[in-house]
Amino acid sequence: MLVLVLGDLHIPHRCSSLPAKFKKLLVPGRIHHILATGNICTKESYDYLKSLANDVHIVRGDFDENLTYPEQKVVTVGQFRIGLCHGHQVVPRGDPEALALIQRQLDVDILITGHTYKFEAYEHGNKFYINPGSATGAFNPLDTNVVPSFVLMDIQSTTVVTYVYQLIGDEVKVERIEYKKI
Amino acid sequence: VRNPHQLAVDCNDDPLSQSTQSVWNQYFSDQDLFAVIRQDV
Repeated sequence: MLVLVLGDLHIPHRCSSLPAKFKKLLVPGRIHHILATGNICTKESYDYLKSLANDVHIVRGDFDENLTYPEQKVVTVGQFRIGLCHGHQVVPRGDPEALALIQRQLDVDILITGHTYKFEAYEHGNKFYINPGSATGAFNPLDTNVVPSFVLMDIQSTTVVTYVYQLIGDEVKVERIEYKKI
Repeated sequence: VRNPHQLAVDCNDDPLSQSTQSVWNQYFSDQDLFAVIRQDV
């Protein structure tokens, strides 16, 4: 089961579109689910995601036009409960302990958040935390040099293989991280 | 069809790869081909 995780697109406010190299990789028919961490902003971006996969889950970011997206969402894929939250509610932003609090509230195995524009994936207290970063490399007030990145999870029963796609310079670099549920 | 999950996939391969040597790419194009065959038969 392939699950695409991305967010913080900020199209068209901070970026015109996804990087061309990313668009080339994202072929319809390969991905089963999409989890978006919010700030996809417009309906056009939503329609684009919908063209990649049928099952699109979105939580609300602080710049989303659509106000009906939920603040938090729990999606079950295979044996994993996956929690989704944009992360502007977390103070300080991206703090592991604050994120662990949300993880306990939602009772999830994997917690996905955004808002920091920085890719991160780590294990904390036997749970897995993913931040896909910004897929467009949109700037933020604290950092103008953002590396565009997104995450693809390959979920097989109790194992998640996480592929990280980062656009460094003009090339897409892929990293692989494994997480096993205990 | 060779399933990428049952093979020892080397580290340079990933599910979105467009490379012709990619096991994943091969897998998805095989799937497409099978879908066409199923439709035709």
